[in-house]
Amino acid sequence: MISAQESSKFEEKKPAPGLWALMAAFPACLFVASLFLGRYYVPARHVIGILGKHILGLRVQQDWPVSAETVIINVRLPRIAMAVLVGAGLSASGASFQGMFQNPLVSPFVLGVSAGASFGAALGLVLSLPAIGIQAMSFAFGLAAVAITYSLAHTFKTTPILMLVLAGMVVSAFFQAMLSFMKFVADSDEKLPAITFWLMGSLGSVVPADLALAVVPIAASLAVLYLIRWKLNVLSMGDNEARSLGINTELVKAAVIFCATIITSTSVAFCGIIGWVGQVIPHFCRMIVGPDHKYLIPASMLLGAGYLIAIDNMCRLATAAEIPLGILTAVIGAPVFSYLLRKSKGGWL
Amino acid sequence: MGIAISVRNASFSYVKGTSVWENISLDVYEGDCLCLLGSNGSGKTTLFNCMCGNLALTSGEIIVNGKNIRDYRAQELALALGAVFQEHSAPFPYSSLEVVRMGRAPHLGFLEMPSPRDTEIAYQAMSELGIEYLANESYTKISGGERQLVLIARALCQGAKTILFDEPTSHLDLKNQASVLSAIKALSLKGMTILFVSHSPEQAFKVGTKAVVLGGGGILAQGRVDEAITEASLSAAYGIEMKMYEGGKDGEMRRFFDTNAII
Repeated sequence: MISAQESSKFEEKKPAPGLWALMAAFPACLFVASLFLGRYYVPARHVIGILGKHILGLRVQQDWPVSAETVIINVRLPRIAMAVLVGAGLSASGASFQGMFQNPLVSPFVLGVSAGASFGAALGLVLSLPAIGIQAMSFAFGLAAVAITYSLAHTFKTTPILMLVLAGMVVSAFFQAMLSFMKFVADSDEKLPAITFWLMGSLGSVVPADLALAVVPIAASLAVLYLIRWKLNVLSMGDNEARSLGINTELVKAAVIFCATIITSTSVAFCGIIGWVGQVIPHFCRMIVGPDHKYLIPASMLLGAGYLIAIDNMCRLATAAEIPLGILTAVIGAPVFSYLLRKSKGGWL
Repeated sequence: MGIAISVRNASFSYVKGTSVWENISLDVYEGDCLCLLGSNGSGKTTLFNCMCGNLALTSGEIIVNGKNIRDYRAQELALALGAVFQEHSAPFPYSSLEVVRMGRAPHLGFLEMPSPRDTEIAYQAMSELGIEYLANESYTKISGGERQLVLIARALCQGAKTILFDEPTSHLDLKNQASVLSAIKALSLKGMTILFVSHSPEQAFKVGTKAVVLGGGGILAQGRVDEAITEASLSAAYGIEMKMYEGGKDGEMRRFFDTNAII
């Protein structure tokens, strides 16, 4: 037995407080700045006035057109807030899955959630359901796909990582095929382009009601992932070792899978498939704060949120017509990541 | 002396009908340093995994500190037994201190994270083994011997009185083997209960107080090291004729040679 009476002069290496301030400032500044940016011109003093009125509840002299208020409160604010939720959510789920699967190549879609959700949305589109119906179908099929994966992988009271990955591949393949079938039977003038566009991912159609529906499941799941983040360190040493260190591995795995799935299905239901963020933002964060999930998870949330706001700004501002988000996340992200990869020679891995 | 781990009439089979070993019984007394020997495939690692709760026996029982291992929750068992595994994967380059600090996991609630006090305890465990200089080094970039010492420090800061090792010196060079063995011996001298799986009978003489030789689906010999490890038991275990040579002062150092290989 060891006692901790003597105090050592040891200094542990950890991310400096200044670094956290910078990482927090990144999404915060972008959030505020993005409210001022857009195709529809609203003068800065109007933006401030509108925000003062709606967010802080101030009594402001109202000298702006009603349309300006609609643009800021009903279009820009929910869209940017959704970018924060989805960016933080995908990136934290990706980091958690990478830890749990002991593999930095894993994406948050590894258990088949995106294939299931895509099929659900395509089915909804083919059946001409209203927007809320399509979202519900997408969310439900995303959850169902992961539930099937989990139950396929669950044997003898355990859920081996390899079984999860394999079951995820099987379930993804099945729903991909079902998605192709939906595309095949869809009306090629109207429905097929809608499905294709939906699959590219976009924050363009987010309305305040979407935000209200998405905020609770995503924020609650993020909170749970944040609270159990240190257990991911132990879990990443492998099931046998984690168990011998007293971790209830099945409970931690189930909690991580459940939270990540709620986050990813919600994101996909409202914004389509946004690739790359969940896979690569954790790598950026490992370069900055190291592999310890105690720091990696909050860093992923902050940088993921900031990254998605930044990319979404480009989607809506770069050209006259909006560019799908799923395209730009990788078109911008891949070269930046390649540059960092070459420069650091993968030193953080 | 109480019994730390008692294996009673235990059998294990991966495939129905073919058991790895059958109806074996052994006791690890508190303060013992027991060396578990046997050929490849004799089921040493299987027994190790049963003892640390990762595999369930097909029949029989394992009693840890007077309570059946089946009735332990993972967290509770981790407070009674520490385990140092053989094959070790490290997917992420955590600092060595963080790896040691994972030993504090059984002391923490589901949503709890290690406190500065836990860090202090982890650091103390590293100092005790003389590896505090590794604290900020990344676990994937230190040597195999250092990695093994980090894992021992982790088991130590777990606070369990019994530590199980699965081939702690495999893949290590002679110098690192010596440093790991002397760390194990030091723990044993401090009164901790140790069980270690080994491929080398010499190690039993160097650090062990007791030995168990597994083979032929059962226990071939057990007892004090010099009682259990004999030419007869080793010849039976490895299926080749073994000759024991004694050397050093008072036969302190013993070496075993396969007589066929000498020719």
